[in-house]
Amino acid sequence: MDNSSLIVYIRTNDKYAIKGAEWMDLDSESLNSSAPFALVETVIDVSSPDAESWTKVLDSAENATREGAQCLLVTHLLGDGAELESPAQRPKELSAETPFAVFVNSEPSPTEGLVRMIGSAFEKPCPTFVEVECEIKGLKGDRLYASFRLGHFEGRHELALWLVKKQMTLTTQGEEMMLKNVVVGATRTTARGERDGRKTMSIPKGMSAAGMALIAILLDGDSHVPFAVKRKDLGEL
Amino acid sequence: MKAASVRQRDFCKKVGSGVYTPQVIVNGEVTRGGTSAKVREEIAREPEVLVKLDRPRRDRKSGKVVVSFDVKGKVKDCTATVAITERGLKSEPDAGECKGMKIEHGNTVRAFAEKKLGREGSYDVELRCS
Repeated sequence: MDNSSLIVYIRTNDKYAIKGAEWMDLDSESLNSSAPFALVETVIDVSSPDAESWTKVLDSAENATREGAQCLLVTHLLGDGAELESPAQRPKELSAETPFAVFVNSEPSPTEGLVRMIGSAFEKPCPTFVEVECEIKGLKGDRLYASFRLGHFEGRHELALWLVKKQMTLTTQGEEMMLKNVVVGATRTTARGERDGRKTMSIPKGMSAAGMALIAILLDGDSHVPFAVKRKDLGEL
Repeated sequence: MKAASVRQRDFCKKVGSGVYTPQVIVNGEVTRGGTSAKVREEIAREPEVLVKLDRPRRDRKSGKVVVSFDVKGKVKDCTATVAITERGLKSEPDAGECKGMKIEHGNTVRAFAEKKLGREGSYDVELRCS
């Protein structure tokens, strides 16, 4: 069992809470490491004009994870294209394809694998390895060429690629607000294990690519629960 | 997404809370206000269930890996999830689009099991681990 880890975590049957967890590296002398472990879900409505309040909520949750809290943070964005009555309700900077979702805790950390594993097991067990890689292949005009590579998993899932502006200013009701992690472009494709591929995405007209990141999210094909997230800052390329 | 709305609505119905956005739910508790301090406080709360793991052993007869653990606290209506992951795996598919490529894997879940819990105590879970 070299290079192996064991985790046991206790969650409520309704899947709304993780009550406790303990894990160990099986190839090390130190047997146990234990910590409080929480499931944090935030729900925000991007169609709401009250962008400031939901930005604060996201910041609160993100800051908590940066400060070392052990938690699985899932953000549900409501108000996507499927729910809005009128596209006019949506802040214009948000893409019509703005998906629900997810993320954070995608920063590399000692617990990244743990978080990912719990994420994968949370709604629907996925007892196979899942990994996603992505990179910007090239930048020509307002087009991005993103490539991805998938590790082994079984069945057919979906890969969502998001282009995210890490910070942007939104003018709502005459007030300027600073937003973080705004999805400005999105695309999806069917995903199978051990495949690679490329997708083309557009940068919104008039928007600079500076401060953007590409986020690849592998989603369960049925439930759309995410089980792998990979982020690549465009600034790194 | 509709599923997110349904999940939020179901949760709020269960705990008797109103449905609103933004809303933060930390471990099944609605945090009022959603301030940094409040969220941090909720996350840092002592776990309601303490888990004590033993080093797993392999059953000679069945060849399965047996994981033993003790749980203490509010375990009613809870499920234990047990997983063994392996790092540093590599593969070279001999067919398909990735034929001939060297693919590195991380945190492969090699074995996975769940067990319903009803009370405090000791539990054994058997995992078939290749």
